[in-house]
Amino acid sequence: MGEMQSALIAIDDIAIQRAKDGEMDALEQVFRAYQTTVYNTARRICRTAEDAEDVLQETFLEVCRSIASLRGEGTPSLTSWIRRIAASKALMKIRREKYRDADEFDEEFQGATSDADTALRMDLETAMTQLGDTARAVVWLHDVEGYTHEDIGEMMGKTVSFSKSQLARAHKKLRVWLNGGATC
Amino acid sequence: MLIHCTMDELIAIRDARGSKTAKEHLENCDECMMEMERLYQTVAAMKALPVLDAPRDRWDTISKQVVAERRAQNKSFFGWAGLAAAAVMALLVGVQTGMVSHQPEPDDRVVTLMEQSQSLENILREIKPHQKVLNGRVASTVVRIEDEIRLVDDRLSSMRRQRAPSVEDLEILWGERVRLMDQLVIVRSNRATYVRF
Repeated sequence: MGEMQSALIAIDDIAIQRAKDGEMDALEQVFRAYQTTVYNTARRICRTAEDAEDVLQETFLEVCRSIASLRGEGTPSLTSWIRRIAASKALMKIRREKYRDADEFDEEFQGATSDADTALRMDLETAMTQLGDTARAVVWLHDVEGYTHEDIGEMMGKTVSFSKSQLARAHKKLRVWLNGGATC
Repeated sequence: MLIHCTMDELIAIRDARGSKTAKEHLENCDECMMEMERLYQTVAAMKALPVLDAPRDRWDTISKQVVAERRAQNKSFFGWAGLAAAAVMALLVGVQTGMVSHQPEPDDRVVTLMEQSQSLENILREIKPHQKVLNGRVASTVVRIEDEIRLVDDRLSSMRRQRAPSVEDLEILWGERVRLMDQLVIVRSNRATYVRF
């Protein structure tokens, strides 16, 4: 989460209050401050850059519509609120697109390579794209963005165990693709 | 036979919720310790992935849409206000010409219904589930209710174009609108509205 935060441009409380009052220039400041964070979350969860751009747009439309009702003050609550909207929109996007692993979440592996190709080392970005959409979303939200399994289960309408098992499966796959050899 | 930690167990230990047995094994097993180290490295590498910039600036599109939505909302609000004024005027004309009996005032009821509708709109805005997304079944209910509200609004708009809209008809339509808005509030607030995978 720290790495993502570093992409933030500072936004002060006055600008946040003006954004809550609906002032467009303040809303633009919010957009400029958070667009990179939102786009990165979306890009790491969604499969394509176009989908991530759609999520970026949908997230900030929601922010502009609902910021007046945001409870809590200051940058931290705004940040967690926007990040949560972005994550929800990205999860909605992958659900809507009904990528190949629509119902069976154990179909993580979608590329032409098989687990047996242990000699082939992938780079991490390639390996992430090879994971199924749900597994990729879980591993990113949990391990990078710091969401709990409870949060993830709630956002996906699934159980905590589902989130935990998706995370373990994702790491097993990554372990093979990145390091080769057998999984635990 | 030595049983190594599974990936689930390693992740559980990393996240401070591992079993005592698994922790004890990990402390005494070089192989599992190496796996744990790999796990940490993978996550560290994920966190170190380059920050990506959105290829296009979307603010122009977003701001235009927000402004358009605000205009539509204002138009709708002033449309209703005009309708209310027309209803009150029609009633006043009726009273002056002796057409209206001294029954409970229908214009009062219309105004009350309009206020109720506005209150429900405000409640809806407050409970707008920005941190949640709807599951399929709830989403289709919401869409159906919203469609019905749109139909009522269309009928109210066409009444607004009439010179002397019937107060009774207005009362029926506003009553229907309040009923539908009430349903929408119930669906939006009471249901577990999360995306279902």
